[in-house]
Amino acid sequence: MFKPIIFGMLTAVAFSVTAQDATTLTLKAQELPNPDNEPAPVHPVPTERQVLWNETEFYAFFHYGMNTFTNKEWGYGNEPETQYAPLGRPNPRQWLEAVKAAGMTGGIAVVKHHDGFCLWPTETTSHSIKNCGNANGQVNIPEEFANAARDLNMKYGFYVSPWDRNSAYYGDGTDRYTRDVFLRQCAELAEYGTDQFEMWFDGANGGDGYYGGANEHRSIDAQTYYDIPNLRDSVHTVMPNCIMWGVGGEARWIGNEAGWAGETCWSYGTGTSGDENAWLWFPGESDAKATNSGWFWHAGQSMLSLDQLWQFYLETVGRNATLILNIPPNNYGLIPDSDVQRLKDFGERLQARLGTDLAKNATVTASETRSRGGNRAYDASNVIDGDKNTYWATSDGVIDATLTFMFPEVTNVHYISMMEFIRKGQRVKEFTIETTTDGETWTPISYKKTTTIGYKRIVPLNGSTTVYGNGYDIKGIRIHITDSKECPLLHTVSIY
Amino acid sequence: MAVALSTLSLGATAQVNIDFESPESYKSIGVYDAWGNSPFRTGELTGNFAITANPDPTSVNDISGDIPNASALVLGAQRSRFASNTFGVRVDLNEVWETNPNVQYVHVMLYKPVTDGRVMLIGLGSREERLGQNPYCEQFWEISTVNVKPGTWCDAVFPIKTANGVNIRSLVLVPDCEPPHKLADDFLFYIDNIEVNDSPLPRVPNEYYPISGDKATKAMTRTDRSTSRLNFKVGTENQYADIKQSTNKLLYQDVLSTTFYAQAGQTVTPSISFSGVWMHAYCYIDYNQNGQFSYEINEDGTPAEGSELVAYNHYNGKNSKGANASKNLGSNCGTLPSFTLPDNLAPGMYRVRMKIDWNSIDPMGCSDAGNLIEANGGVIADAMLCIYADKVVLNDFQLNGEVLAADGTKLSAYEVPANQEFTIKSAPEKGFHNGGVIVNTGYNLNSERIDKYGNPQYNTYTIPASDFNEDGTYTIAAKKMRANILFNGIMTEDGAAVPDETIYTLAFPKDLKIERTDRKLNSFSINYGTNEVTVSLDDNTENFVYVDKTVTTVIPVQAGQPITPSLNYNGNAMHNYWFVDFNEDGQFSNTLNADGTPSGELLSYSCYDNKNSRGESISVPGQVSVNQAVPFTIPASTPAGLYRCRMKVDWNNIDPAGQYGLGKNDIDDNGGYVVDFLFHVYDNTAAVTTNVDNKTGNLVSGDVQIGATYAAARLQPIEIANVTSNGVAIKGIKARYGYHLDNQHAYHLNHTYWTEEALALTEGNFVIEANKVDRPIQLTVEFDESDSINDIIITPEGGDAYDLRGIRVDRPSNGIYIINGQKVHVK
Repeated sequence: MFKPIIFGMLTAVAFSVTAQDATTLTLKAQELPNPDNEPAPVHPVPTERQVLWNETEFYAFFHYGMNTFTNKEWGYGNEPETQYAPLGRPNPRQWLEAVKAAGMTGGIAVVKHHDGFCLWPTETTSHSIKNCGNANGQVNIPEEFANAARDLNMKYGFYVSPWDRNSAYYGDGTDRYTRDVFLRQCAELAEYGTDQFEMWFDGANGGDGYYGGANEHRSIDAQTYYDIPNLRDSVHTVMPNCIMWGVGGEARWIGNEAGWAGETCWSYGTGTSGDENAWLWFPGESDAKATNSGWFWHAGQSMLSLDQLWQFYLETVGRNATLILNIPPNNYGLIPDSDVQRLKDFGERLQARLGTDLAKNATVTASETRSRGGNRAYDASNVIDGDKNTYWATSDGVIDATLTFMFPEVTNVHYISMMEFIRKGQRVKEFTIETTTDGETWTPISYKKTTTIGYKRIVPLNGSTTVYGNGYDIKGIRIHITDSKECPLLHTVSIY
Repeated sequence: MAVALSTLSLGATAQVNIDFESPESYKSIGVYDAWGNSPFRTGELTGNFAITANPDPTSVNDISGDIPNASALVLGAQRSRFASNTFGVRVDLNEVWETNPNVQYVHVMLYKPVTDGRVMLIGLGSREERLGQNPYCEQFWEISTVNVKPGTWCDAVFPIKTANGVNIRSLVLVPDCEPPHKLADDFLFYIDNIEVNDSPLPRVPNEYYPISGDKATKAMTRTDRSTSRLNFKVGTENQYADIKQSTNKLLYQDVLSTTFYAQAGQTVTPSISFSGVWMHAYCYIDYNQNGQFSYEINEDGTPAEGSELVAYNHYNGKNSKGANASKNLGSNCGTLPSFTLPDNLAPGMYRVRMKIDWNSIDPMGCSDAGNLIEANGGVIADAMLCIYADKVVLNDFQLNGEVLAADGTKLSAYEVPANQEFTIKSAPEKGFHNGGVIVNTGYNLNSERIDKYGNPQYNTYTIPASDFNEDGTYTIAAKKMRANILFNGIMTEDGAAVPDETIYTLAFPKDLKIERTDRKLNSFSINYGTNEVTVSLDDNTENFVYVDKTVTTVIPVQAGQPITPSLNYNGNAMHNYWFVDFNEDGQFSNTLNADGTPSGELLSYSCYDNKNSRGESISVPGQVSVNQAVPFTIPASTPAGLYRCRMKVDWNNIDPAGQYGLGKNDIDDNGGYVVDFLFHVYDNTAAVTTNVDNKTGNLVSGDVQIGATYAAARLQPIEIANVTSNGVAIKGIKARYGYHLDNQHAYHLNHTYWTEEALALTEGNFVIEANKVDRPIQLTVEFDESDSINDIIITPEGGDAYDLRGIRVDRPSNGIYIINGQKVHVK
């Protein structure tokens, strides 16, 4: 119901009101110098940290913690600390080495899940490794994880669950949990490295739990409880390149845990396809399990097949999303040998199928090229120069254009990969791929309508993400962009 | 000044109230862009803004009738095309505004010249205890709950909540954040009267029953969930309204064509059929009929006195019964607690809103950035509730007759018990007959059907004449006697054409439209012999399921002729069906032989029950080409005539009325169509009949004489001399073309079967144009016997004789008499 603003009335009484003079306001002609003839951005555009995050592309999730020893997926929060008892010394370096062999460029370690058990000697709670009572358990996971990542030249980040079913303060109607527990935990984790690339904010919030012995149901308003804007400001102040995923508002959940993004996938909006009309840059991350069991390790589990993992890769990284693939360490704190082998095999497949860029052997031409500026040219050759900061562009308003790649001799091709210069926004709405065997007759590949490109789009020429096939022996291949929000900008095209 | 400071020191929360009339109401003004690389942040460009004169201090708001903003001074700024979609005008506050987890509403009066749509408010501030924090850190980005219309002052409303301990120092109003985020030209916009209060309702109403967005276009952005039905159980009676959200994918569903019926004091149990989980349901009734839904609740969660939020199953841990409610209601998230209608609720029509949302009692839908109703697959659906009294009042209104009670009582403010069947009687005046009755049932029956709030005040349906008993009575079912009624009898002049609604029926309403856009029938073609006719549906601009082409599409074919139809249909996984009413009984029979071949009037179908009309097996019905039809042949025994045809696009269904209301595969949901047109089966000659006889002699057409019957060459003109073979002068010839020529009325089986004209006399000949000589012709000749009476000597046979005064003569003797309408010389 409307209530009058009494304070406003008091203000009018308390202050003597000075009338203002009105200024005549008219439109002012403004020009922005553009010596390099750069295309104007198509908003929304990513922040620098979002661009860097997208470049991570393929990385690992390590669900390890109390649940590894309780055989649960969601702990209640009442598990005794001593139940966390690794049978060997956990080795985060081994985890990262294994996934690096798979071609992953980073990893995110779960260091506190909903059960509230912290894998580092935090000052915020007794429910941590400090009180596990065994030497193996007292390995500081985030510290070792961060050190190993830096040593291996890999990106790293942490999953620290906002929802804490152990803490008595969680959802108690005050801000004690967020102020004295959660924010402090985030600050402690920042001490292990300010070069973190992602903080994972699980959307599961509130429910029943131990809550310091209350054993009840508690709910919170996720929009306000964690004070995300200020948490993000604090995180960015300390860790300038750290993306806050999910509730953090800088990268979105792709909408499933089945390892796929929509073939149409915008870097804004929500869900598998995003929303072409959304106002905020919000790129998608696909979280998927590489094993046939839960997120945490369970006895008897095994890794999915190479083909299944390959499908995940093509349907996420190949569709303008990143892929965070979950590899759970076992109760020894290690990635099982069989999983290590599967990861190595995957890495070999990745290298075999997407390791040799045939585009570098091709001659590339464009149907239309933007005029160069003082220090920048937009030639077609920019897409194969190996420099992500140069790009091919058309003139303003030209949204129908073709990039053609001709090989010196007939070449066997399976995939074509395209990358937009997303710093100026995501633009391409529709394109087709055509091939030629004689250099004159062009045939569209047999495929459903191909739409968005975004950060990266990998198109299998046979239209399949499951069947590799024999490839196509072709003399040339071309990308025909048929619709775009504005002049398209491609910085890299690779052909495999 | 000192007084003011001490007032503040008493702990009054410093709210926001800025009117720009004086510089004291704000600290400073400027522009702001959330885009980090904005030229307005790098210093390449500076903002253009100023306190300036109100661009529109006098226009009146259409809805409230008030002047929304008459103030003298406002803050104006230039929206630059070089900025991002998060650029706006910035106002720094004199005092920090302490936000908290309880929603407060920021209202900003806004005037902008372009683009209808929502706007954004960005709050800049910091946490009170973080002294080293940037004091102007972005704290919230809130989209307005309502659209801002261009060219008029609107009140943009922003629901704001944050964690405790947040201090807001600046507000930034972003004047356009709707897509396509591609501003081509700069524009000036103005803001004024920034105020924070706890009212979510705009200070300037811009529409009634608003939602957070445009009702017509706001789409769900999460489409794996949808609502299919509103259920409104009154007592033990289930009432419901179906919703097509799964196909139209819109947030707002207008179901105002559905009316639920109840009486004051009854218990209602609403529920919503929703396909998802982890959502909550809400029900509102506009009890005070003011175009808005109030939604106050008590601390215990129960609706406050007078609240129009009547039921909900979860809000902040409670439901509308005041009981604890889990936020995870599983598959029961559409089930609502019951509520009781107020005992003193007056009879009338009330808008009902039912909503699927996440933890939000706002009838406009949750606009929190993390839980936008559209992003959660919710729904806002409005229907009508009719509260009826124990008695209903009946009236009638029409020309040329009356609608009475069965006992002859006039329906003049006639009160009868509600909920009991009632029998009416159509009483047309002489020369008229009962053409049916239009029934308006509801309230305010003498007013516009749709009131100023957009609420239908009454519903309308028609009782076709064919449903009346022979004695002109019709009994209205009890369930249709739940509101006042105005009967409008259709008194049709005898002989006039009135469609018979009982023939060529449809299973769905005639005004049913297809809302999905990925399937469309563009045209269909009939190939017959060396000819092909294409029937375009471009004129079906509203995409109705049913299209009547019987007036414009009459395809000439011959008995025994092979027909090859085809379609131009965008879409797939549909089938085509072709019916012809050969026995002209107003029905399409659809009997099939055991092998699937037709045995009735369904002549061709592309798929039914894994067969087509050739009897061929079909293993994958979804792969049958919708555009190819099985050819068929007009039976060789078909007499010449006009035959109703029906082409249907449907899924695996041979009902000529269309598949509808069976729980799935509704024809509209599947993008199906029913199109009626005509076949004209013609003979090679046109059968001509005349009223000539031995006395008059034959009609003369060149070298040919046309007697009582004649077979004219098809599509050849016929020129008839104005004198018969017996030298009798012809005054005029009336020609009737078509079929069922002896019917008194041309209109038959909902089509005009014959036309009639007086033949023109051209250079001594009466001419029948060639294009009319393609069907039977009945010629009624008027002979000019004024000079020929003396030449006619006949003995009358039968018929009364009248002398030239019009007096009947029993025994005519020699003289001129009128017998059977003709002058006769009796000898």
